[in-house]
Amino acid sequence: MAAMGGSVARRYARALFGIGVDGGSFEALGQEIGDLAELWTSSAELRQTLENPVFRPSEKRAVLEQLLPRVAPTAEVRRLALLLLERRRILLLPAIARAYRDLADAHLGQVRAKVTSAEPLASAALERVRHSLEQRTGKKVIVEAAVDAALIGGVVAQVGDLVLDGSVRTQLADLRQKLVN
Amino acid sequence: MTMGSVRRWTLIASLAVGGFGLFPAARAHAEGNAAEAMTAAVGHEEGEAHEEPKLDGKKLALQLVNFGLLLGILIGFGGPAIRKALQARHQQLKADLAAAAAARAEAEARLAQQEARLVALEQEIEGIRTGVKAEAEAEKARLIAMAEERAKRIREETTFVLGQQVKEAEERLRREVALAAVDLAEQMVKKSLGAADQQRMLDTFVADVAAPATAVSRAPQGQA
Repeated sequence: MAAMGGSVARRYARALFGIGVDGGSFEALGQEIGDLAELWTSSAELRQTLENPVFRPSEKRAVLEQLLPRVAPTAEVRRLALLLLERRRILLLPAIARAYRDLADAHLGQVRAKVTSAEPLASAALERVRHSLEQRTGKKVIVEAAVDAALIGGVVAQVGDLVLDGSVRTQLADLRQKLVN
Repeated sequence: MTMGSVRRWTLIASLAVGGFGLFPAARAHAEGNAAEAMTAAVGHEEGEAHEEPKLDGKKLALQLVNFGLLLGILIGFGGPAIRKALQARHQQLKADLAAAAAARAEAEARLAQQEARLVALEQEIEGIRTGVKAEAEAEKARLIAMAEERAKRIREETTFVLGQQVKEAEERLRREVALAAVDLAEQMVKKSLGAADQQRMLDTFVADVAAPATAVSRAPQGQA
Protein backbone atom coordinates (compact mmCIF):
# COMPACT_ATOMS: atom_id res chain seq x y z
CA MET A 1 0.00 0.00 0.00
CA ALA A 2 2.85 2.33 0.87
CA ALA A 3 4.65 1.42 -2.33
CA MET A 4 1.52 2.09 -4.33
CA GLY A 5 1.04 5.40 -2.49
CA GLY A 6 4.66 6.32 -3.25
CA SER A 7 4.17 5.58 -6.92
CA VAL A 8 1.02 7.68 -7.04
CA ALA A 9 2.74 10.47 -5.11
CA ARG A 10 5.62 10.45 -7.62
CA ARG A 11 3.17 10.80 -10.49
CA TYR A 12 1.59 13.88 -8.93
CA ALA A 13 4.99 15.27 -8.01
CA ARG A 14 6.32 14.67 -11.53
CA ALA A 15 3.34 16.47 -13.03
CA LEU A 16 3.75 19.48 -10.76
CA PHE A 17 7.51 19.49 -11.26
CA GLY A 18 7.05 19.46 -15.04
CA ILE A 19 4.80 22.47 -14.79
CA GLY A 20 7.31 24.22 -12.57
CA VAL A 21 10.24 23.49 -14.86
CA ASP A 22 8.31 24.65 -17.87
CA GLY A 23 7.33 27.84 -16.11
CA GLY A 24 10.75 28.31 -14.52
CA SER A 25 9.22 28.26 -11.05
CA PHE A 26 9.90 24.74 -9.88
CA GLU A 27 11.83 25.95 -6.88
CA ALA A 28 8.96 28.16 -5.72
CA LEU A 29 6.49 25.36 -6.32
CA GLY A 30 8.71 23.08 -4.37
CA GLN A 31 8.80 25.46 -1.47
CA GLU A 32 5.00 25.79 -1.50
CA ILE A 33 4.28 22.10 -1.70
CA GLY A 34 6.81 21.58 1.05
CA ASP A 35 5.15 24.17 3.29
CA LEU A 36 1.73 22.68 2.60
CA ALA A 37 2.99 19.20 3.46
CA GLU A 38 4.54 20.47 6.67
CA LEU A 39 1.28 22.15 7.59
CA TRP A 40 -0.58 18.89 6.90
CA THR A 41 1.86 16.94 9.02
CA SER A 42 1.94 19.34 11.92
CA SER A 43 -1.78 20.18 12.12
CA ALA A 44 -3.83 17.32 13.47
CA GLU A 45 -6.91 19.51 13.37
CA LEU A 46 -6.49 20.04 9.64
CA ARG A 47 -6.04 16.33 9.02
CA GLN A 48 -9.09 15.43 11.07
CA THR A 49 -11.18 17.99 9.28
CA LEU A 50 -10.24 16.99 5.77
CA GLU A 51 -10.31 13.24 6.42
CA ASN A 52 -13.49 13.19 8.48
CA PRO A 53 -16.38 11.69 6.48
CA VAL A 54 -18.85 13.65 8.61
CA PHE A 55 -18.02 16.78 6.72
CA ARG A 56 -19.33 17.09 3.23
CA PRO A 57 -16.81 17.49 0.36
CA SER A 58 -18.05 21.02 -0.28
CA GLU A 59 -17.34 21.98 3.32
CA LYS A 60 -13.85 20.47 3.14
CA ARG A 61 -13.18 22.29 -0.11
CA ALA A 62 -14.29 25.56 1.44
CA VAL A 63 -11.90 25.06 4.37
CA LEU A 64 -9.00 24.25 2.07
CA GLU A 65 -9.76 27.15 -0.27
CA GLN A 66 -9.60 29.53 2.65
CA LEU A 67 -6.33 28.06 3.87
CA LEU A 68 -4.41 27.72 0.59
CA PRO A 69 -3.82 31.39 -0.27
CA ARG A 70 -1.87 31.84 2.94
CA VAL A 71 0.35 28.77 2.36
CA ALA A 72 0.47 28.31 -1.40
CA PRO A 73 0.03 31.49 -3.40
CA THR A 74 0.55 29.82 -6.80
CA ALA A 75 -2.47 28.54 -8.64
CA GLU A 76 -0.74 25.26 -9.59
CA VAL A 77 -0.25 24.16 -6.01
CA ARG A 78 -3.76 25.22 -5.04
CA ARG A 79 -5.26 23.28 -7.93
CA LEU A 80 -3.19 20.25 -7.00
CA ALA A 81 -4.35 20.43 -3.39
CA LEU A 82 -8.00 20.72 -4.42
CA LEU A 83 -7.57 17.86 -6.88
CA LEU A 84 -6.11 15.67 -4.16
CA LEU A 85 -9.00 16.57 -1.86
CA GLU A 86 -11.51 15.78 -4.56
CA ARG A 87 -9.90 12.39 -5.26
CA ARG A 88 -9.53 11.69 -1.55
CA ARG A 89 -5.74 11.58 -1.79
CA ILE A 90 -4.96 14.61 0.28
CA LEU A 91 -3.09 12.42 2.74
CA LEU A 92 -0.43 11.93 0.04
CA LEU A 93 0.79 15.49 0.48
CA PRO A 94 3.96 14.64 2.48
CA ALA A 95 4.94 11.92 0.02
CA ILE A 96 4.32 14.23 -2.94
CA ALA A 97 6.47 16.92 -1.31
CA ARG A 98 9.32 14.43 -0.79
CA ALA A 99 9.08 13.15 -4.33
CA TYR A 100 9.03 16.69 -5.65
CA ARG A 101 12.10 17.54 -3.59
CA ASP A 102 13.93 14.51 -4.97
CA LEU A 103 13.02 15.54 -8.51
CA ALA A 104 14.18 19.08 -7.87
CA ASP A 105 17.43 17.87 -6.28
CA ALA A 106 18.08 15.57 -9.21
CA HIS A 107 17.32 18.40 -11.59
CA LEU A 108 19.79 20.64 -9.76
CA GLY A 109 22.39 17.84 -9.45
CA GLN A 110 22.30 17.78 -5.68
CA VAL A 111 21.51 15.21 -3.00
CA ARG A 112 20.35 15.49 0.58
CA ALA A 113 22.24 13.85 3.38
CA LYS A 114 21.00 13.25 6.85
CA VAL A 115 23.94 13.50 9.21
CA THR A 116 23.31 12.12 12.68
CA SER A 117 25.76 12.42 15.58
CA ALA A 118 25.71 11.62 19.28
CA GLU A 119 26.28 15.25 20.13
CA PRO A 120 25.43 18.36 18.12
CA LEU A 121 28.08 19.10 15.50
CA ALA A 122 29.52 22.49 14.99
CA SER A 123 28.94 24.16 11.64
CA ALA A 124 32.56 23.66 10.71
CA ALA A 125 32.29 19.98 11.44
CA LEU A 126 29.09 19.77 9.39
CA GLU A 127 30.83 21.56 6.59
CA ARG A 128 33.64 19.04 6.68
CA VAL A 129 31.13 16.21 6.56
CA ARG A 130 29.26 17.85 3.71
CA HIS A 131 32.49 18.31 1.78
CA SER A 132 33.49 14.70 2.29
CA LEU A 133 30.05 13.54 1.16
CA GLU A 134 30.29 15.68 -1.96
CA GLN A 135 33.63 14.05 -2.67
CA ARG A 136 32.07 10.69 -2.19
CA THR A 137 28.91 11.22 -4.29
CA GLY A 138 30.26 13.69 -6.79
CA LYS A 139 27.16 15.84 -6.28
CA LYS A 140 26.25 18.86 -4.30
CA VAL A 141 25.12 17.78 -0.86
CA ILE A 142 22.55 19.46 1.31
CA VAL A 143 23.10 18.41 4.89
CA GLU A 144 20.31 17.91 7.41
CA ALA A 145 21.77 17.53 10.88
CA ALA A 146 20.25 15.36 13.60
CA VAL A 147 21.28 14.22 17.08
CA ASP A 148 20.90 10.73 18.50
CA ALA A 149 22.60 10.03 21.83
CA ALA A 150 22.18 6.29 21.29
CA LEU A 151 25.03 6.46 18.79
CA ILE A 152 27.36 6.99 21.81
CA GLY A 153 29.93 8.56 19.54
CA GLY A 154 30.83 9.06 15.88
CA VAL A 155 28.69 10.05 12.89
CA VAL A 156 26.14 8.40 10.63
CA ALA A 157 25.34 9.88 7.27
CA GLN A 158 22.55 8.70 4.97
CA VAL A 159 22.54 9.79 1.37
CA GLY A 160 19.60 8.24 -0.43
CA ASP A 161 20.04 4.51 -0.06
CA LEU A 162 23.66 4.84 0.99
CA VAL A 163 24.39 4.74 4.73
CA LEU A 164 27.81 5.69 6.00
CA ASP A 165 28.00 4.54 9.61
CA GLY A 166 30.91 5.57 11.81
CA SER A 167 29.09 5.39 15.12
CA VAL A 168 30.39 3.69 18.25
CA ARG A 169 27.06 1.91 18.62
CA THR A 170 27.53 0.13 15.32
CA GLN A 171 31.14 -0.71 16.08
CA LEU A 172 30.11 -2.25 19.38
CA ALA A 173 27.35 -4.17 17.61
CA ASP A 174 29.87 -5.48 15.09
CA LEU A 175 32.19 -6.49 17.91
CA ARG A 176 29.35 -8.23 19.72
CA GLN A 177 28.38 -10.10 16.57
CA LYS A 178 31.94 -11.21 15.89
CA LEU A 179 32.43 -12.45 19.44
CA VAL A 180 29.14 -14.34 19.48
CA ASN A 181 29.78 -16.02 16.14
CA MET B 1 -28.87 -152.01 22.97
CA THR B 2 -25.35 -153.55 22.86
CA MET B 3 -24.04 -156.48 24.84
CA GLY B 4 -21.87 -154.24 26.95
CA SER B 5 -24.68 -152.06 28.04
CA VAL B 6 -26.84 -155.17 28.84
CA ARG B 7 -24.11 -156.48 31.05
CA ARG B 8 -23.72 -153.11 32.70
CA TRP B 9 -27.35 -152.82 33.59
CA THR B 10 -27.44 -156.45 34.80
CA LEU B 11 -24.52 -155.82 37.08
CA ILE B 12 -26.20 -152.70 38.45
CA ALA B 13 -29.37 -154.69 39.12
CA SER B 14 -27.48 -157.44 40.93
CA LEU B 15 -25.65 -154.97 43.07
CA ALA B 16 -28.91 -153.36 43.97
CA VAL B 17 -30.42 -156.75 44.92
CA GLY B 18 -27.31 -157.84 46.83
CA GLY B 19 -27.07 -154.60 48.68
CA PHE B 20 -30.71 -154.20 49.69
CA GLY B 21 -32.37 -157.70 49.37
CA LEU B 22 -29.99 -160.56 48.66
CA PHE B 23 -27.92 -160.04 51.75
CA PRO B 24 -30.47 -159.09 54.49
CA ALA B 25 -29.04 -161.74 56.90
CA ALA B 26 -25.57 -160.44 56.50
CA ARG B 27 -26.81 -156.90 57.10
CA ALA B 28 -28.70 -158.05 60.23
CA HIS B 29 -25.67 -159.93 61.32
CA ALA B 30 -23.59 -156.96 60.80
CA GLU B 31 -26.01 -154.85 62.73
CA GLY B 32 -26.00 -157.46 65.50
CA ASN B 33 -22.26 -157.44 65.53
CA ALA B 34 -22.29 -153.75 65.76
CA ALA B 35 -24.63 -153.86 68.75
CA GLU B 36 -22.49 -156.47 70.38
CA ALA B 37 -19.43 -154.48 69.72
CA MET B 38 -21.07 -151.45 71.26
CA THR B 39 -22.08 -153.44 74.30
CA ALA B 40 -18.61 -154.85 74.60
CA ALA B 41 -17.17 -151.42 74.34
CA VAL B 42 -19.46 -150.14 77.05
CA GLY B 43 -18.59 -153.04 79.20
CA HIS B 44 -14.97 -152.47 78.53
CA GLU B 45 -15.29 -148.91 79.50
CA GLU B 46 -16.93 -149.99 82.66
CA GLY B 47 -13.95 -152.21 83.29
CA GLU B 48 -15.99 -155.43 83.36
CA ALA B 49 -14.33 -157.65 80.74
CA HIS B 50 -11.59 -157.66 77.95
CA GLU B 51 -12.32 -159.82 74.83
CA GLU B 52 -10.09 -160.37 71.67
CA PRO B 53 -11.69 -159.12 68.32
CA LYS B 54 -12.56 -161.92 65.92
CA LEU B 55 -12.09 -161.82 62.08
CA ASP B 56 -15.14 -163.04 60.23
CA GLY B 57 -13.89 -164.44 56.92
CA LYS B 58 -17.25 -164.66 55.27
CA LYS B 59 -18.20 -161.17 56.09
CA LEU B 60 -14.86 -159.98 54.91
CA ALA B 61 -15.24 -161.82 51.65
CA LEU B 62 -18.65 -160.30 51.11
CA GLN B 63 -17.31 -156.86 51.85
CA LEU B 64 -14.48 -157.40 49.44
CA VAL B 65 -16.89 -158.60 46.77
CA ASN B 66 -19.12 -155.67 47.47
CA PHE B 67 -16.16 -153.34 47.20
CA GLY B 68 -15.00 -155.02 44.01
CA LEU B 69 -18.41 -154.63 42.45
CA LEU B 70 -18.49 -151.00 43.44
CA LEU B 71 -15.04 -150.51 42.04
CA GLY B 72 -16.01 -152.26 38.81
CA ILE B 73 -19.11 -150.11 38.42
CA LEU B 74 -17.09 -147.01 39.05
CA ILE B 75 -14.45 -148.07 36.56
CA GLY B 76 -17.01 -149.25 34.02
CA PHE B 77 -19.14 -146.18 34.08
CA GLY B 78 -16.73 -143.45 35.28
CA GLY B 79 -13.59 -144.53 33.49
CA PRO B 80 -14.33 -143.12 30.05
CA ALA B 81 -15.59 -139.88 31.51
CA ILE B 82 -12.54 -139.59 33.71
CA ARG B 83 -10.32 -140.50 30.81
CA LYS B 84 -12.08 -137.98 28.67
CA ALA B 85 -11.79 -135.33 31.40
CA LEU B 86 -8.15 -136.13 31.91
CA GLN B 87 -7.64 -136.03 28.14
CA ALA B 88 -9.31 -132.67 28.00
CA ARG B 89 -7.35 -131.52 30.99
CA HIS B 90 -4.19 -132.73 29.28
CA GLN B 91 -5.03 -130.88 26.09
CA GLN B 92 -5.90 -127.82 28.09
CA LEU B 93 -2.60 -127.94 29.91
CA LYS B 94 -0.76 -128.40 26.62
CA ALA B 95 -2.60 -125.46 25.12
CA ASP B 96 -1.93 -123.41 28.20
CA LEU B 97 1.72 -124.33 28.11
CA ALA B 98 1.90 -123.43 24.45
CA ALA B 99 0.11 -120.16 25.10
CA ALA B 100 2.37 -119.47 28.04
CA ALA B 101 5.41 -120.22 25.88
CA ALA B 102 4.09 -117.93 23.16
CA ALA B 103 3.34 -115.24 25.71
CA ARG B 104 6.76 -115.68 27.17
CA ALA B 105 8.35 -115.41 23.74
CA GLU B 106 6.25 -112.38 22.98
CA ALA B 107 7.12 -110.83 26.34
CA GLU B 108 10.80 -111.53 25.72
CA ALA B 109 10.52 -109.98 22.30
CA ARG B 110 8.79 -106.97 23.75
CA LEU B 111 11.37 -106.83 26.49
CA ALA B 112 14.13 -106.85 23.91
CA GLN B 113 12.31 -104.21 21.95
CA GLN B 114 11.82 -102.07 25.04
CA GLU B 115 15.46 -102.50 25.98
CA ALA B 116 16.46 -101.48 22.47
CA ARG B 117 14.16 -98.51 22.68
CA LEU B 118 15.55 -97.71 26.09
CA VAL B 119 19.05 -97.70 24.67
CA ALA B 120 17.91 -95.56 21.76
CA LEU B 121 15.99 -93.31 24.13
CA GLU B 122 19.05 -92.73 26.21
CA GLN B 123 20.98 -91.86 23.09
CA GLU B 124 18.15 -89.58 22.01
CA ILE B 125 18.05 -87.95 25.43
CA GLU B 126 21.77 -87.46 25.25
CA GLY B 127 21.41 -85.95 21.79
CA ILE B 128 18.64 -83.65 22.97
CA ARG B 129 20.68 -82.66 25.98
CA THR B 130 23.65 -81.92 23.77
CA GLY B 131 21.51 -79.95 21.34
CA VAL B 132 19.83 -77.96 24.09
CA LYS B 133 23.17 -77.21 25.62
CA ALA B 134 24.56 -76.06 22.30
CA GLU B 135 21.50 -73.91 21.67
CA ALA B 136 21.77 -72.45 25.14
CA GLU B 137 25.43 -71.64 24.55
CA ALA B 138 24.61 -70.05 21.21
CA GLU B 139 21.75 -68.07 22.75
CA LYS B 140 24.00 -67.00 25.56
CA ALA B 141 26.65 -65.86 23.13
CA ARG B 142 24.05 -64.05 21.06
CA LEU B 143 22.59 -62.28 24.08
CA ILE B 144 26.02 -61.28 25.29
CA ALA B 145 26.94 -59.96 21.86
CA MET B 146 23.66 -58.08 21.63
CA ALA B 147 24.08 -56.61 25.09
CA GLU B 148 27.63 -55.57 24.30
CA GLU B 149 26.51 -54.00 21.04
CA ARG B 150 23.73 -52.16 22.80
CA ALA B 151 26.05 -51.00 25.55
CA LYS B 152 28.49 -49.81 22.92
CA ARG B 153 25.75 -47.91 21.11
CA ILE B 154 24.49 -46.37 24.33
CA ARG B 155 28.02 -45.39 25.25
CA GLU B 156 28.57 -43.80 21.86
CA GLU B 157 25.25 -41.98 21.96
CA THR B 158 25.92 -40.79 25.48
CA THR B 159 29.37 -39.62 24.49
CA PHE B 160 27.92 -37.82 21.50
CA VAL B 161 25.16 -36.20 23.55
CA LEU B 162 27.62 -35.19 26.23
CA GLY B 163 29.92 -33.76 23.60
CA GLN B 164 27.06 -31.80 22.11
CA GLN B 165 26.01 -30.53 25.50
CA VAL B 166 29.58 -29.53 26.29
CA LYS B 167 29.80 -27.72 22.96
CA GLU B 168 26.49 -25.99 23.57
CA ALA B 169 27.56 -25.03 27.06
CA GLU B 170 30.86 -23.69 25.76
CA GLU B 171 29.07 -21.79 23.03
CA ARG B 172 26.56 -20.39 25.49
CA LEU B 173 29.31 -19.44 27.91
CA ARG B 174 31.34 -17.84 25.15
CA ARG B 175 28.28 -15.93 23.99
CA GLU B 176 27.47 -14.74 27.48
CA VAL B 177 31.05 -13.76 28.13
CA ALA B 178 31.20 -11.92 24.83
CA LEU B 179 27.95 -10.09 25.49
CA ALA B 180 29.04 -9.21 28.98
CA ALA B 181 32.39 -8.00 27.70
CA VAL B 182 30.76 -5.86 25.03
CA ASP B 183 28.26 -4.46 27.52
CA LEU B 184 31.09 -3.63 29.86
CA ALA B 185 33.04 -2.05 27.01
CA GLU B 186 29.99 -0.01 26.06
CA GLN B 187 29.62 1.29 29.60
CA MET B 188 33.31 2.14 29.77
CA VAL B 189 33.18 3.91 26.40
CA LYS B 190 30.11 5.90 27.47
CA LYS B 191 31.88 7.01 30.61
CA SER B 192 35.25 7.75 29.12
CA LEU B 193 34.26 9.21 25.72
CA GLY B 194 35.18 12.86 25.63
CA ALA B 195 35.19 15.74 23.21
CA ALA B 196 38.61 14.83 21.93
CA ASP B 197 37.40 11.32 21.16
CA GLN B 198 34.35 12.69 19.36
CA GLN B 199 36.60 14.93 17.31
CA ARG B 200 38.90 12.05 16.50
CA MET B 201 36.00 9.89 15.40
CA LEU B 202 34.67 12.73 13.27
CA ASP B 203 38.06 13.09 11.63
CA THR B 204 38.19 9.38 10.98
CA PHE B 205 34.64 9.44 9.55
CA VAL B 206 35.42 12.31 7.23
CA ALA B 207 38.59 10.67 6.02
CA ASP B 208 36.83 7.35 5.48
CA VAL B 209 33.88 8.94 3.64
CA ALA B 210 36.17 10.89 1.37
CA ALA B 211 38.01 7.71 0.43
CA PRO B 212 35.97 5.60 -2.07
CA ALA B 213 34.45 2.26 -0.87
CA THR B 214 35.42 2.60 2.76
CA ALA B 215 34.39 0.40 5.62
CA VAL B 216 31.78 2.85 6.85
CA SER B 217 29.52 2.11 3.87
CA ARG B 218 26.50 -0.01 4.83
CA ALA B 219 23.09 -0.96 3.71
CA PRO B 220 20.29 1.24 5.03
CA GLN B 221 19.40 0.53 8.69
CA GLY B 222 16.31 2.61 9.09
CA GLN B 223 16.94 5.72 11.13
CA ALA B 224 20.71 5.48 11.29
